[in-house]
Amino acid sequence: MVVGGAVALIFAAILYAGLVLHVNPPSNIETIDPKTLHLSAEFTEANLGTKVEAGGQVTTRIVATQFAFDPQCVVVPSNEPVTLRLTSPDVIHGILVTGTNVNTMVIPGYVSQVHTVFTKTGDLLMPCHEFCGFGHSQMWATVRVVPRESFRPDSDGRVACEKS
Amino acid sequence: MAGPTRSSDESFTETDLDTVMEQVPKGALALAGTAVLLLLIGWFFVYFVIFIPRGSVG
Repeated sequence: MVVGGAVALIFAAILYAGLVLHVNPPSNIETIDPKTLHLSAEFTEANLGTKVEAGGQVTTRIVATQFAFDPQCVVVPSNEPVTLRLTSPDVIHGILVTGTNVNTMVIPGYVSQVHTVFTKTGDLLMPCHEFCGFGHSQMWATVRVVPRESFRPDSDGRVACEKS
Repeated sequence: MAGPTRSSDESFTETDLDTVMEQVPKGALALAGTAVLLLLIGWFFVYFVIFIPRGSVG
C-alpha cells in the first residue's frame, strides 16, 4: 500500500510535468535526404542559425557534422518560445544544452526538433553527447541566450553571434 | 541443508526464539521503509530542484 502510494505520487508528478508544464520527450518525425542537405531548402549554409520567421516564431537551424556544429554559436532570446531544428549529413550525433532539459539525438535522414523556452541568459555549452568518431570530444557549440531587448534581428530576420 | 534444531541448546530457549522472531519483521520493515523513503526523497529532490527549473521541452 505504501509502495503503491509512492508509485502513484511519482506517476502524478510525471503527468503534471507532461500535461501542465509541457515537458515531453521531443517526438518530431520528419525525414530529409542527408546527401543533399547543403544543396537545397532548409539546411543550406545561408539558412543556418537563428531566424525570426514571418509569424514571429524564433527558429534555430543547426547541422551537426563530424566534428563540428554549423554554426558553432547561435543566439536565442530569453523567455520566448524557441524551436531548435537539427539534422546530420553523416553519422548519429546528439545534443544537450547545459542547464536546460534540451536533449535529443540527431540522426541522418531525420530532422530533430525541440521546442523550448530559455529562462536564463548567458552562454550555454551545447556538446555532442553521442560518440560520433575520433573528434567527438572537440564537437561542441554555444547557445547564447540574450535578453529580448538585446535580440535584434536584421532585415532578413536573422540573428548571429558577433564574430570576435 | 537444514541443520538440527538448536532450540534445545542450553543457551537458547524457545522463548528467546519467539522474542527474536517478534522483533525481526519490525526491523526489516523499518529498513525497507527507510530505503523507500530515501529513494522517494532523492527522486523528488531531482524532480523539483533540477528537472522542473530546467524548463519546458517538447
